[in-house]
Amino acid sequence: MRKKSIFGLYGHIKQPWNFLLGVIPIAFLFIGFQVLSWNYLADNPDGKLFRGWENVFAALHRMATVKDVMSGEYLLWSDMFVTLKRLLVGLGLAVFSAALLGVHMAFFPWIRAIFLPFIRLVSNLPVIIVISIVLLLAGTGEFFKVAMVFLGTVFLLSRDIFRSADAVSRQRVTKTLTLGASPLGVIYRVMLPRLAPDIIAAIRLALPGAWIYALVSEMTISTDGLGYRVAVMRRHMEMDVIIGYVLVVSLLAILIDFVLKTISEKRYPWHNPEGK
Amino acid sequence: MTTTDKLEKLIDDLDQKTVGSPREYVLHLLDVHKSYDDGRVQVLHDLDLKITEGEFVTLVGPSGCGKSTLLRAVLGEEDVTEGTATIRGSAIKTPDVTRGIVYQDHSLFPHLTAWQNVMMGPKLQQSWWKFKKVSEADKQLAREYLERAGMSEHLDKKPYELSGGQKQRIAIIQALMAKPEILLMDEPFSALDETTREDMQLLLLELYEQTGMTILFITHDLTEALYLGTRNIALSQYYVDGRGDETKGARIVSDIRLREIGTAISPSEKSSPKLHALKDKIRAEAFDPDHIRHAKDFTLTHPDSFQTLTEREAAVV
Repeated sequence: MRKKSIFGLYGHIKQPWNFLLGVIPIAFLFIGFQVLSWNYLADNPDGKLFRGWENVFAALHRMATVKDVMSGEYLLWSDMFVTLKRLLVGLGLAVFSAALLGVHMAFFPWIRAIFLPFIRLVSNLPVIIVISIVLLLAGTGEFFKVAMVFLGTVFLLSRDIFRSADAVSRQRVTKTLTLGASPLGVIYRVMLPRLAPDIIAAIRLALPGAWIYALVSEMTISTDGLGYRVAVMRRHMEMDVIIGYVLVVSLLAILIDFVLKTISEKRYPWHNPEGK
Repeated sequence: MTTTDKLEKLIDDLDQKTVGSPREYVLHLLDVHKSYDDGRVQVLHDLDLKITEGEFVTLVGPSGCGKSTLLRAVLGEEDVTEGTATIRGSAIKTPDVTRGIVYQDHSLFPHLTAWQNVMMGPKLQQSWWKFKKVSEADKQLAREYLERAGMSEHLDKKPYELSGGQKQRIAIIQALMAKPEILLMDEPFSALDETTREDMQLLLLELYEQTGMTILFITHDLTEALYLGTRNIALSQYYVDGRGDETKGARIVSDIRLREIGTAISPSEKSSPKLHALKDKIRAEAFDPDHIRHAKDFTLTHPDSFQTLTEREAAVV
């Protein structure tokens, strides 16, 4: 019997081929960087741009294990801590506000009438354009960085959560009322728990934006953080540290996304497409 | 506004509050009209309906005749354009615990188990700080219903782990546990296969016998309507207006009491030739466009008609 081609619409790729195919682009990137570094160092033995993975990991090791002379801190860990703090506080506030706004917009027409046009307008606005205004209004301290993460995510989150809540059938709302819930009870006792996996999905979509605004705000004005360190190292042409920090940020982003995905799958198995 | 206008308004308001809304009627629709688009699209026309406690009323009508609009009005999702709609004498405003609802789509809460879904009504009727607490009596009642429905083994399953029939069993018990004045059912079995549908019909009759619940069951299936109900109401899509013209707008064209309240009928009666004869009569007199066009008054309202047709002992009004 003739098998279906793996290149066709009904192609099925078994393990370990499925995994190995996924590794190809990542391996290509790592090997490509190493090959580029070898060629670069052959032409520029003292060059600082592409010095291979060995030097990148050595730089990361140094940042993680050698105390900084000025601050007396292990810079990699302190940078990670402050950036994560800004990211999570800004994102947390944005999720809280967006969940309330999005769900209320979906279930109360008068709230929708007031806020939805505004949310649609500003969610299409790249918040980076107002960075100077936020800087003037929020100052140069922590509030500015948290505000940038908040502003960069809250409108998109509101729109996404509104969409998910709006997709809940009207029948369920009516049914909840007939079971004895008050209008606010419909939202807080039934719909918010019901929408938890949708909110997690919205957070996962907003995460890249949150990272961008956390790092950009640190690059703009700061004295610590992963974004600040990359900006400082750029001035000193410390490409090893910069690439090392890019790796760290990537791993942190993947880790946070993985944790959210795992929570969603384990706690809300009914939310997968088959479960719906 | 002049004094006369104010007086008229006051009389109107008093009429709205008092006319035809005694408490003995669980559901009372009086001269109900519903139209859209500033009256250009008329859906319900001059509907009068009184449902008393313990009646199992089935409502049939052709597709698009206004059954769903009527349901939304009874639920309180939409206001009626004219007339009054009351539950136990109180005007219907928004959906509340006086009316339970079971939809064709089970509409269970996907994040809750079967047991949690069933207990949702008693929990939601508690105040916030007692949300988790449910009385032992309610728990015992839920266990009885679930036992009767054969669902005791599936209490920890989420809706996505249940079959269509099982979900609908849970949906019915969920609605019953909220203890509504009237249970509204919107084609609850139409998405199920034949065997499951028959099982569900029997379960519903058993639960009806046990609880004596007032039920308004909407279906497009005349056999189901006549099989289940103690009273059958047929809606027509058209009525004849004052000039004798056929106009779109649902009105009740047949209102037949089928049997004594609480008298279960056996499944074999579903295929009884006399039941078929009644179906044919309703189809001919209530749904046939030619008949509607030429008849002056379609309302059958013959409590005896079923008896005459079926000569069943059970069909006593």
